[in-house]
Amino acid sequence: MALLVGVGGGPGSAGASGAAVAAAVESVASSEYGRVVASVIGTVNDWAIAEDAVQDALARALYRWKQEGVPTNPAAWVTTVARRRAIDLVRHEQAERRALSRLDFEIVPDAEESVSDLGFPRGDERLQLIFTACHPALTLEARAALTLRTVLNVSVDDLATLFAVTADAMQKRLVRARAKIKHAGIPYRVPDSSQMAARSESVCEVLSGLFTIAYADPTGRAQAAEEAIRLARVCCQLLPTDSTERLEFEGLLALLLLQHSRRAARTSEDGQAVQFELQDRALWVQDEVAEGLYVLDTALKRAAYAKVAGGRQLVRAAIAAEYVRPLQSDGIDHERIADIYEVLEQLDQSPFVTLNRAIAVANAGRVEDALGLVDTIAVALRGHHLHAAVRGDLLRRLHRTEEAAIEFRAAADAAPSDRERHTYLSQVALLGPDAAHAHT
Amino acid sequence: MRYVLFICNDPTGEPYNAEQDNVAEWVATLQASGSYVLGDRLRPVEDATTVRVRSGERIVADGPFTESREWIAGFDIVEADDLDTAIAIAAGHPMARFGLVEVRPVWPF
Repeated sequence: MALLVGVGGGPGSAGASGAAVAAAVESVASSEYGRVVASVIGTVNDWAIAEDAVQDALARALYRWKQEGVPTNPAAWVTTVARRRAIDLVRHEQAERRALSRLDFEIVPDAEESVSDLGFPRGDERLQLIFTACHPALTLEARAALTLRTVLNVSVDDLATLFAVTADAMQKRLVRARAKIKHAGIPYRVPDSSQMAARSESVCEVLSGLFTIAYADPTGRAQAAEEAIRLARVCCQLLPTDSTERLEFEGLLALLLLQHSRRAARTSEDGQAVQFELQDRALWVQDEVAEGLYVLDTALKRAAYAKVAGGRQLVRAAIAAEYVRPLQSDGIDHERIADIYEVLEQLDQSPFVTLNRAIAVANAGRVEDALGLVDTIAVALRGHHLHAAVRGDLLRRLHRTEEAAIEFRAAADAAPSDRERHTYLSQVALLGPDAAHAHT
Repeated sequence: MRYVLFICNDPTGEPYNAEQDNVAEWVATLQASGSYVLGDRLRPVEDATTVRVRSGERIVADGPFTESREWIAGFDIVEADDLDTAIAIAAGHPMARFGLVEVRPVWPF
């Protein structure tokens, strides 16, 4: 076959080495997954079958490419094979249903035509995937999980960790969401401009969630961050220039760029989180900082011109920019940041907003006030490692060392990862020998 | 697809305003577009009777099957291309403001 590229074999030998095949399959499974699934859903309009078919095609690729070589366009190969498999599965299901009910009430439109279309999906069908997965008829948790699972092939185990549920519960959530799309007739398309408004907020939340995966694990999932940024950018382009929704997507894009630009500086060589003030600014990606600030400032100007108040994402980006703008970290205006957090609290009742405001208030030198704020959300965030960690830090600043040690230890106990646990325990150690023996 | 819209009352809804209760207009628009199948009001829950058969024994009770502050006041069956269209139709029903509308896809045998 002319399209095949032999890897590692001599002339006439089309086979590829096991390592080369594994790498090619892994590349499709990680970076092209969403586009492949989007394309197959476009053909069969069934999320569960499409995803099964893509997994099946990836498994076949492992076997076939070893014999035939890796095709020039691996993603197109997987798409074609998955599409055929999906059509088989749909036919099989329909035959079963007909046998049961003798009613032929569902037809796959243009399935045959789609098979002959060997090319890779045109445009960005992932946007279709995202807006459908983010339909408000699904729960917020289901939307986020389904988008990450379907667009980025994030594993069920990783999703379970991210959403703090068991793998079993996550699997059930995904099954339910796919079934509802099918049974309730949630359309597979990007909503028109009249519905874009209502739907975009949900997409913003999902993209933030996607970015959080990368943020929580800077070593493993940089790609998730880049996908979130890319998708935020596409959403910006899609929305009318004068819409308030577009301002929100621009806020989100700016926020993600500003956070992502600091990825290399956020973690030390031994994998520990580095506090913002101690980060090496030379490691920031200046192009991304500049773009983030440009996108934000343009959006803020347009918001001011149109006399509209910014939404959550725009306000969050404004806060992120306050940290990044000054050339030195001692130039940061923490009072101003605390003020912007107060604006954000009006838009977002999450206790984490208050927790962040408390940090800003403490950084502005009002540590007692900050402690008061943290205590107002003690019930809402009971047992959360971040609440304990922030409280520990405030107590440390007030030289209430023993209480601080107790909080840091509670944070370590509740920490979701070893990396964070280690960071909290080292805080206890830094408090000195007396604190190390403090107990509840 | 075919959807049943359960028209319910809901204490959290906007206060009832007879002038805005333009349900006849809503039905007429749907009939004109060919999406309307069937619909009616239902007598209040005071007139409901619940029937169960347990171990072969028929148990008949006064009232609705569930105690709730929201109850079904009517139903409409509509044809819609997809859920978005069904939601748009439901949102146009006056009771979406005064109460709520539950949109349920029909599950054909």
